[in-house]
Amino acid sequence: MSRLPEGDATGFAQEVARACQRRSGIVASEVYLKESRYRRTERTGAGPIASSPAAPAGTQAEETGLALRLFRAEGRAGHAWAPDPTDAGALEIAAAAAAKLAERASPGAADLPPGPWEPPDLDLYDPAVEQEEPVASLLARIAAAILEEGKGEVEVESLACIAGGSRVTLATSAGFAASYRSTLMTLILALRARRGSESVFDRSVIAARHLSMLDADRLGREAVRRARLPLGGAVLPPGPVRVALEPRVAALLVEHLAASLVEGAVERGRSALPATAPGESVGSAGITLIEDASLPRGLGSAPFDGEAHPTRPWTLVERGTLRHLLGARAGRQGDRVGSASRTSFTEPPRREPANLHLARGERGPRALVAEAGSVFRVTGASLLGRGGPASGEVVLAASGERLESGAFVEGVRGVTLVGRLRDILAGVLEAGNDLSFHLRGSVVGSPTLLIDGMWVA
Amino acid sequence: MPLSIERDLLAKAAARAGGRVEIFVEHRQQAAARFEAGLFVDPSCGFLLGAGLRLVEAEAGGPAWRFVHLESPTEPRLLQAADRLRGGASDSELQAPSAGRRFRADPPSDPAALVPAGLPAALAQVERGALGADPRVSSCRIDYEAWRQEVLIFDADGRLTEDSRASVRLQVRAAARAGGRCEEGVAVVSCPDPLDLFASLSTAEIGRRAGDAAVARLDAVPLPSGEYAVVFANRCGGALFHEALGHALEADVLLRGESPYAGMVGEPIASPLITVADDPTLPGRRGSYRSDDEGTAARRTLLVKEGVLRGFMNDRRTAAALGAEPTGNGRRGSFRDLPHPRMSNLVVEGWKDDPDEILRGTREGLYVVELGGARVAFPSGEFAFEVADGYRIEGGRIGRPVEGAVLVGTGPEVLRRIDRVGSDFLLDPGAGSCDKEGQRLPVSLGQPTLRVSRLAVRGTAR
Repeated sequence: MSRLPEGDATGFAQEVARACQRRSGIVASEVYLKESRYRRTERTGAGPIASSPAAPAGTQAEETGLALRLFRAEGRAGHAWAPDPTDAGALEIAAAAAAKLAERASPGAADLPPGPWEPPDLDLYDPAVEQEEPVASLLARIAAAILEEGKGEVEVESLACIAGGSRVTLATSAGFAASYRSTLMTLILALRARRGSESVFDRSVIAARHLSMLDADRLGREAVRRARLPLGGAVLPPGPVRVALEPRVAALLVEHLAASLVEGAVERGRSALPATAPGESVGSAGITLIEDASLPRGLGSAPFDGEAHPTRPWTLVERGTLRHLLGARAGRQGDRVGSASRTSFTEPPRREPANLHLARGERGPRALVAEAGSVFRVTGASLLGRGGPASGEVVLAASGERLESGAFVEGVRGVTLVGRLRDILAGVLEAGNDLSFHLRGSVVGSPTLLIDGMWVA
Repeated sequence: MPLSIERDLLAKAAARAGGRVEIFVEHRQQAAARFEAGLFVDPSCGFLLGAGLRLVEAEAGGPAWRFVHLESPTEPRLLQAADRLRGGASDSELQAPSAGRRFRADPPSDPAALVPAGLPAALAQVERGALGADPRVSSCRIDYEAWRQEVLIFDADGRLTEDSRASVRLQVRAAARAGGRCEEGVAVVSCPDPLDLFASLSTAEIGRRAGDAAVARLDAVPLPSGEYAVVFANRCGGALFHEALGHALEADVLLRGESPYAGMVGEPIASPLITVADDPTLPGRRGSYRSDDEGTAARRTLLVKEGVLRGFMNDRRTAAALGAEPTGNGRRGSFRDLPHPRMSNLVVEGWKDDPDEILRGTREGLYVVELGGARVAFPSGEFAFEVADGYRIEGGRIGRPVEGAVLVGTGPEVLRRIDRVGSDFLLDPGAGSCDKEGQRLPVSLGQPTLRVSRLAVRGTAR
């Protein structure tokens, strides 16, 4: 994979960090290296599975690059990047640019990078994900499961898998130097269900670090169930409705909620939460929200964050009470959350949640709806609302099924579901035990949520 | 061309691949920064240089695709990539470090130039403008981004085309609070050059617009669900047309059998008041270019003329498949991507109605200034658009702002129900980006004030 000097990415990064620190006016430096290689495997309709490391549109087959953050006194930092770490000319351009930007940055906006410590192994790497045959085989098994379960009513428009691995290396002039490898496979299932002249489309995205975490039969069956449900579906009448949001839909709310929990959002009036300080209530006792980038095999996990700090679990909301804000910096270095996220070498570290999730409850999703009376179980949704973190307005284009005491009554489609975030949080009745994580703008997770407080528009 | 690549080398690589080969070379510099709470933070910049090689025979329906891309190419790696297209090099050979002369930008890149020294002070003025708009404005966040792109396309016929594009964009988000309610207002400006960013508007004016928008939303009221006459302001920017019509007229959508307008060229698909074109030749717009990413010269493409469908947007691949001419809409997110038919600047032409008269002639309805999140399903054309900035129309006048309203319908239906089109055509301030096939591209939109006689609106009044 590497275009770096063979076998010594950390040594190379340390050397660059030391060299950068010697530049005029620079008091510290940080070097971030990312080398990724992904393969896209795709099956379109009934066609053959095609695979190529030189990916077709929309995928990254290979990305390698180096980013520098150079620090001046008083916490001024500039970030610059170059695509080829082995190109001395490009490195010099990046170093000069980072130094120039550090001069322009405001003081007090960046912390100096940490010294040495030993990161843990979070089991993020599975060599099978980097191999062509196991991935193609998984897609074929999913396609077969869809074919069998779909019974001619649900067909595959495309099955795609982007699978591969990356190595991240981070070194600081203060002496931290570490590297980790990880793999990720993302399945994109695009299905079309037809009945008579009616046609509906469903797209699912499923991701995992290890191949063994994906069950082809179960994935195929669930995808068919979701695709088929809206066929012949009713439109619910306007008014309040009790909803059970499936994990992939509830994860949209978690993502929306994150913007209101970022450090600074509350005090600057950008938070939709009713709480103004830790210790105050933000919703029902059914809400416990945790950020944990140290979860073994976690989609958003990393042994160290984008600024070389340790990642660890951090409870933001405990049984409805605000405890901490995302990215809050404690007074002592050891109390840091380690939530500086980097998705690419082209972006500086940002305070973003990783593996932010609502804690699982005790009961399974079936038990949750069985005693809940009339429920709209939402199996598919797009987040339309763009009210922003300030207004906390949530608008979902939703589909799914109507249940009575857990029994299917009818499919539902074309529903606009609305609510204010604070009302929704107050209306969470119970969380299921089926927590799962999803790739959105960041990695977010949720179990099924039973909620009063939403409204069919 | 500011890239040190000789035509002979490209021709040699193409010959090595043993077929009709297109080579796309891209040099891109970009920068970003944020301003919040008086601090200029996270300034960042960098550059990339890469090449994508495509075997053009694949266009005629041969193998699914034959495409290779390279980061930081050197001469030997470019030739290796050409071998790879022919099937003669393995993955490991292509990825291995190789000596040889690197492609360079000439003059050398200086991405920090995209963050001018005066930018922090200018953004501080923007923030003061937002906070000074009203005492209820509690905070302001400003995101700055800039990029400059040079491309070189060596097409399958051996023609060499060069283009240079650039964009600077400022997004200001102000938050206002009152009575336990928080709302956000957004203002966006964009232009091709950082030095021109504040030429048309003062820094304080940009901030004030965001602040005013946030404060206006504090008075927003929910709207009852129902059918309304909907007037779209010219500032609305044509997002409805982009999503509900434009994508359906991209020929790859047609070839996938997903366009609701398949087989309708020459037939009426919209009100006779409607003329729509895609025009990348508009000077200084976010979606403008001289050549598309396949080397086809940019040109204005008439899509709908007085309600009659005139054609689709094609890249070279879709044009070959349809027996049509490329329309200069072959665009790609980067050298890593294959091109697709994509919109550039989509414009809905103005007609002759007085925009004020359109409002006065609408007794009850909804006035939409900005659309937010959208979902469009093909081939039905069903859509749902969030109204990000909208107002009641009461007695022919603009009334209170509304919150939580969603427009629902289908593209074909809404196009036929347009009954008034204003004379006040306006291009948007260049805020737009379009995502498709995982590729994000800058686009621009423009429209006059226009009215849809009847449209379903989902509201949140209880």
